[in-house]
Amino acid sequence: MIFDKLVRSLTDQRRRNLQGELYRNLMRHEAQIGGKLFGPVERGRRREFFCLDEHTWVWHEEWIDNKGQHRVMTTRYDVRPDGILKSQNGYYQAVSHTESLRLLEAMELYQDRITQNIYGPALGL
Amino acid sequence: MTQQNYHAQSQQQGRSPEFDTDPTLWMMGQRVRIVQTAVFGARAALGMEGRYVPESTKVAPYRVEKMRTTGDDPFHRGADSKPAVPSLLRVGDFPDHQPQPGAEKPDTRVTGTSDDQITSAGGEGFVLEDTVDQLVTNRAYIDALEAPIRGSASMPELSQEDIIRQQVLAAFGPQTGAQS
Repeated sequence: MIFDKLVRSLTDQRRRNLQGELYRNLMRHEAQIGGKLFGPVERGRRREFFCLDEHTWVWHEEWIDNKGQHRVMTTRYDVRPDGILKSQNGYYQAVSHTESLRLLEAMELYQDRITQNIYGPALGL
Repeated sequence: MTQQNYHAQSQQQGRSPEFDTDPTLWMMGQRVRIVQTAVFGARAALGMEGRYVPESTKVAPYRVEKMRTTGDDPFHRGADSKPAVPSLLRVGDFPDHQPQPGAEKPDTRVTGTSDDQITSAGGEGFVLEDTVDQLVTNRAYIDALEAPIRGSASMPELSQEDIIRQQVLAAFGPQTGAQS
């Protein structure tokens, strides 16, 4: 009985680990596709744009500046029922309507691209 | 939504049982649903849709019509099935919005003093942290973003102009901000 519980527990844990890894792999792939929506990324620069959860979008950028320093910048867009907030460097600000519309355009393009490249073929979308 | 709940919902909606027994497909379906909900939520926030619908009540309108073959890795389907992504959006498509120092945080869900940072990891090339791993696990992105980023102790002083330029770039700023 105890042995069975132990085996079941280990199996469940392994399954959760695999699912977590799969989920992260899916998001990594999405982030790569999202990073290409804004045009070619120059060599030495890494750009990712992805949907983190139902109300959060992330723009992540890493690059080497002209002094050879590694730079990182993460911008988070937080979608609320009454508007969109942008968070950078600890500061929050409301996103203008114009910027929101363009962000929405990016979101919709992102949805199209990941459906076309990742999920569509597997899910029959 | 747990997988068990998802299965129950799936039965009610008549989705293919094979879908629910394949964890890969189930997870992919979850991602589709999350992105759909996220886009819908953004439209609602901008007044383009009706009432904002919590994700728990949303239903992903997909069905499985074609099962993957065994061993078919969704990430390596071959170049022929991944058409090149055209450059439909430019960084410069987004206007410049500079952070406003001192602005209050209206989000009580997120606490802390700094959730995004510019930092330096030295000049020895990229020391990449996996963004997704860093951000996703158990919603650890809040902690990850708020905690001092590795190497920040040696972060050099950045001019305000430099900071703003990079902020502009990262936040869909004008094309002029793309040069570092």
